[in-house]
Amino acid sequence: MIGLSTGDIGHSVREAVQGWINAHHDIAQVRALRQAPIDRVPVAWHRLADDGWLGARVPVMHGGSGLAARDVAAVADLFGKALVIEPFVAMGLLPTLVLVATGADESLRQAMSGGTRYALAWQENTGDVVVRDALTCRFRDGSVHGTKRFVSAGDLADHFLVAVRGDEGVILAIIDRDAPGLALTSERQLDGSGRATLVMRDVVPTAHVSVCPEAIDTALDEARVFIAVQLVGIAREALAVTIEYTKTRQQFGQPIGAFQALQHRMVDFASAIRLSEVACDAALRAIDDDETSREDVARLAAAAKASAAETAVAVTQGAIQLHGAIGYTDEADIGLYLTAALTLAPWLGSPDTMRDRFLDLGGASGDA
Amino acid sequence: MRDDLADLPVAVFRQEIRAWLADHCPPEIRRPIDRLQGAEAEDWHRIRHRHGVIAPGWPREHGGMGLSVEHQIALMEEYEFHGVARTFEVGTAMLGPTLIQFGTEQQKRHYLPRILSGEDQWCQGYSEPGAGSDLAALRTRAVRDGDEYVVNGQKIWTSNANHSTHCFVLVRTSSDGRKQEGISFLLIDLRTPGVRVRPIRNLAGREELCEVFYDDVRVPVANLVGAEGQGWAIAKSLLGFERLAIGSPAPAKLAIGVYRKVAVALDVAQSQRVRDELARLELRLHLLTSLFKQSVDAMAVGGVIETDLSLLKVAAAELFQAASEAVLSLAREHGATGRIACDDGEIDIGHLYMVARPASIFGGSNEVQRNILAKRWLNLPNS
Repeated sequence: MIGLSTGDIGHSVREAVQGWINAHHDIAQVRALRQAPIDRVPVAWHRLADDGWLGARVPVMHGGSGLAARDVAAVADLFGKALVIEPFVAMGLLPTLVLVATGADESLRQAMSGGTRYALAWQENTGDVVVRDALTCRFRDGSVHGTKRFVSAGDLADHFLVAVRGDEGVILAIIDRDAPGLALTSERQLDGSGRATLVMRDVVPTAHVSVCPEAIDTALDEARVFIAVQLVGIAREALAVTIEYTKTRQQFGQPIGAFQALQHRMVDFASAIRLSEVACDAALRAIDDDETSREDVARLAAAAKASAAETAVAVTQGAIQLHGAIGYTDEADIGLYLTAALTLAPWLGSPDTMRDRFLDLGGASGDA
Repeated sequence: MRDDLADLPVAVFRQEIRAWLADHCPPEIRRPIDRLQGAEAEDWHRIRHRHGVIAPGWPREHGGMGLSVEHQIALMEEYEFHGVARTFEVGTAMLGPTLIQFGTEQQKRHYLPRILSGEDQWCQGYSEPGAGSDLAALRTRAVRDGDEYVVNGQKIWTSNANHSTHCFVLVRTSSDGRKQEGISFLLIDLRTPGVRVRPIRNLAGREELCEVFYDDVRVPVANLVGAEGQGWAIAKSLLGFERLAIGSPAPAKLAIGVYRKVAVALDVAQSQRVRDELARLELRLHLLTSLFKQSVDAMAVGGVIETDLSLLKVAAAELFQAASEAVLSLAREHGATGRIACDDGEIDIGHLYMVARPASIFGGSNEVQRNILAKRWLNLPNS
């Protein structure tokens, strides 16, 4: 199978990420997550910080390592493949990108060191795509009122970056999870990870800054591409496991992988993965290319996310079918890829939402 | 046309071609759905020959344009952009490069200039009634008799044979060993006694495909390309650039453009159902285009991924078909006549639909492509 093509830096990033996974990750953690307390302590989080991954996309002038998106994508790709439970995008990449955009350097340092865990709370309703879709939360007389939903990793975060409407534009309020007036409800997702709903009544933030909502949108678009890469990583591994299984499982005196009906299904899955991979690559290149407009990055991000999410769900559920009855058991690992895909696929925009956005931003005519 | 085209930077080259097409491409052949045949095709060939815009991939010493792969791709894209109808470029795109690589000096001297001038029109005789997807099972025999081969058998699905003067044919010269090893590559003049061509009308109402019957046809031994038994290897080497072109997103893009026009004509462009369908088609087009572009770039530096070519062929055919089906479905009652009035005239959506049908059959059917991908890409076992 083909992976994302990468240069020398990409190659060494991949090796380093794989080293981190070998040292700190185990498939047993993925199973245990489903029974773990919803507000678990993310024990490996500071290890991600120690190895510099939390600042990988933060520019050097802000204290990060300033790596290209195309290189850092290896983190999402390999975390997807291994089903790593640490929420790299939700609690690492996304909040640091937002903090860079707002120039909140002290919070950014805290985030990169792993000393404080942040999660971005911007969305209010299903189908919200940009920050301006979700600004019923208000900042008035120094306190925040309103409800934010679908805050991925909200169960683990110490502080929330909350996008709210102020009297003169959009405000990013930094809110402590224990702040008076904040009712925090965590809910478990299909893969065992958590997300939160924030109901805020007269909550006084620890800090607040004006922010250009489009800057947060740009961070969301980059996060979408990383989620897409992670979904492709999940799908690619689920298919690889399935292919190996069909080569060993014997029925009618031959490996079931010799049957044409199964071969064609697997080829279609592999093709969908390959096409999604290319869409991710196009979006990553656009992020790294200063000449590409924000709008075109958004268009390519939407395409990558829509395609990868659809593909990952189709491939992982197809993998269950190709495993047969054993695939339906909790004991078989293949089901873990399905729940991982089902959890990530709708986040920051379901395939339907992302396809609509892709069309609104010009569709395929933007490729000319 | 200037004679330093091959040396121009690609961007300048594109401008030259674009300007030339605007001046010299007959407006009546800007219909990209059908392939040109007969007199129209010959006129267009002569125009290109007169201006030196012919045989882009051939070296200049053989009378071609001597273009790099990058320039050839730019040329193809400019033709697509201008909407130039496709032609059966069998002589220039397929046989010429084969003769340059495998032909004798005499074959090159005789045939290459006549391909360039359009005097000889070539077609490709591979498939037989009993040898389609399993091409190596072919049975048309060539038996040596002195300085001649005597050819007997039947070919089918020979595109454009009804407008061709010559055919290069895969024939069986031996039944020993592996079936691929008994195949030879023979050049046959279709005006030789014993050759009979019968056109087959297709579902789009056109006569492109033909049956060709060979009945004691005597062919000089000098018309053998390569050695006896080398035919299979030569035939496979034909497929390089052609295999990329067959995965072009252009037909699918055209059909999706028609979908947009029909939606406007029926005043349903804002319906959520239509938007959703369009978004799905456009997303697939984006994926196909992205992989096609990546493969084009890779081919220019000789690093194209073989399995991507099969994948592109399958994806391009299926998206073209899906879009043409969506157009017919969107047209509702108009689908029954296959015609619908749009802002810029009547569109023959029935024809678009029919033209899309064989995309998944020719060039190695999509099922055969999936078999190939299962073995070569996923390393799945043989049954």
